[in-house]
Amino acid sequence: MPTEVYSFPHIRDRASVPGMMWTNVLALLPAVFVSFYFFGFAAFRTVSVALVFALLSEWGMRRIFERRSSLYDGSAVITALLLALLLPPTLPFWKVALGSVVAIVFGKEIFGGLGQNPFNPALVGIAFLMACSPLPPMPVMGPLGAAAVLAGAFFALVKRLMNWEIPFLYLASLSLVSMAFKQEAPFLLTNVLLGAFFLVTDPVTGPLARSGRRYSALAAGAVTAALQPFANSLEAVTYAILLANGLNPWLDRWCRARR
Amino acid sequence: MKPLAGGIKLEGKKEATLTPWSSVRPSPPRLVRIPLETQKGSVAQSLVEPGERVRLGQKIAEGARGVGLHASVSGPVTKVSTFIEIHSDGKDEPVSDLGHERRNWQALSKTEIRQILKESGVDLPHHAGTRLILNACESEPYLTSDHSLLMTHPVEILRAAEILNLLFEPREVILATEDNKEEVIELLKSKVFFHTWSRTRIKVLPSRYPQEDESILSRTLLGPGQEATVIPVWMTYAIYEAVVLQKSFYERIVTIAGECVAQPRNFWIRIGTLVEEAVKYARGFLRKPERVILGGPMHGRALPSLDVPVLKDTRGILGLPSEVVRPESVEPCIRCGRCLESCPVSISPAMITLAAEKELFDLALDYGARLCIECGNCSYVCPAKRPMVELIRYANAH
Repeated sequence: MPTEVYSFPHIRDRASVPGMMWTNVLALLPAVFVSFYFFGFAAFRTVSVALVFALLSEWGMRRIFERRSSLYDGSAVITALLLALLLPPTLPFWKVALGSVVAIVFGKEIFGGLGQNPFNPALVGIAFLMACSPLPPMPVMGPLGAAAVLAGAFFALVKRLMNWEIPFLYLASLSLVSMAFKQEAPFLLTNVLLGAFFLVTDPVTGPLARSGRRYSALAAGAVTAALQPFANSLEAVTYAILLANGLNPWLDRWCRARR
Repeated sequence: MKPLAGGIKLEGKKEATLTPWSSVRPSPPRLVRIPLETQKGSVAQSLVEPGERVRLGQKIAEGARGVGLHASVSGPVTKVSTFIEIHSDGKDEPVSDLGHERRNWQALSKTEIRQILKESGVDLPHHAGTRLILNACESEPYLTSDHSLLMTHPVEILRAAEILNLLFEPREVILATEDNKEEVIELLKSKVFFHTWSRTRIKVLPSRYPQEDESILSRTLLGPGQEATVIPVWMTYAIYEAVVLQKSFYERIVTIAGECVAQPRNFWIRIGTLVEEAVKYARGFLRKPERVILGGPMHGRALPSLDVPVLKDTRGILGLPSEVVRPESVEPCIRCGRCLESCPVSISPAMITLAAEKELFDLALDYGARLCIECGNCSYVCPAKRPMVELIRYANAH
């Protein structure tokens, strides 16, 4: 007979944090393979370097802070893959490594690890690299790259990792504000699509309430569009989403409940 | 009517006790222990001494507001302490009138009905508002006791609705049930039609947990701020038996189910039957349960031992295996917001629990901790398996 007394509920939903994170990794894989196809070894090198340095720095930080290892939860892999997909594959490997280490150490672990980071770690790494020196322009992957990102996003949507409203509102706000600026909305760029489906929808760096998430996506889309005339697409996406992440404390205060 | 805000869809797991849906009335238990301490914290006064012989249905104690406790078996009283223990002589010798239809029960006055209910051990809920809701919602997995009761005694429950109509004189009587009980709905509607009981309205709601919660139910049916008297159907049936059949509330229908139970079924269980003995009616456990629960899996109580008595509000006894109640490692909150989506009272469980962990109790209250009805949805949906209910309770205790 059990002697310990547990509180209700005695049953739990099957979803788990590592499960969600690894599903997210799966959703990113089509885009990773398409980048291998387009850029060959350069893309493979970027992805591997990002992965190795992300995992190493996460493991190291956990050792230094004497906390339970968190490699199994898959969040460092997501950060590394997003970083590698967003960075141009022609970037020298030490820059990728530096970005990866900054992403994990200063983007996530310094705040206490998964769930505590106010800004998306991958974007922190990219912003750091962009602040150091301008990045070479991103070669275009074209419709196939966009299709790969969309296929992964569809998988993530089916697996309930995100709400369809968020990427929709981001892209809608992006295209509306672009129209106001008489610019063409850069829909087919993998950067923008990755931002819409995998960065704005990151649960950790979004507001808690659904309404808050909507406002956050609208703000990120509008800022991305507003930055278009002055920056390349990666800079626009990165700074816009980081800015939206920064709005979280206020959005959480204004949008408290579900509706 | 607005549908239940939030809430969650749960796997029913009710088939095992719905084929067949009828209920079994087993022989009386070896002994019963009837607790004198009622759930509202008051202690009932015993009217019997150890050694005294009691009959089935005899009043053996009087609790708060004069609500009686009754012998659920006949035989000698063996112990009177925080509970009254009666060993059954197996004969079930009843008190004289038990089971005989009360003469002129249709003509009883309000005070007479109230007196009969108190004497029969039915503790009527607080009377509020102008509407009466009979609560036949049962969205928790495994539990089918109300379902079985409605299938076997629909006319009795509708008769009791008439009695309650007399008693409370509500503007409307609503029998609220869920769309997971199609045959119950059909049966009730046909009875209402043929008996022309037009005062009782059958209302079918989508089955989402915690639809059966009283405050949630009256809010979904009547809108926010509207009060109503909510009476569960098992109590409605006890009211029928008390008023019409002169039978005190000494037994109730209980679902004995869960993957570990050999023959899951609904049983008429005497109040005070110990869980270990009740489980034997269902041929015991096939394998050792990881957790035995009194009530449903969402809101029930895990039992530290099996010598706990069945009470008047015990809907079920569940033996759940380790693959169902498996303890999982707790991860940090990833702010996914699923708890906010599932919360039926639209508070922010994530913010409250994060604040409670940092002992920021003012912040927790500011985000609505006091409004929590402890349905357990946030704990259920949390992918990080955080102890949400415990943390909200912790915040409210300060």
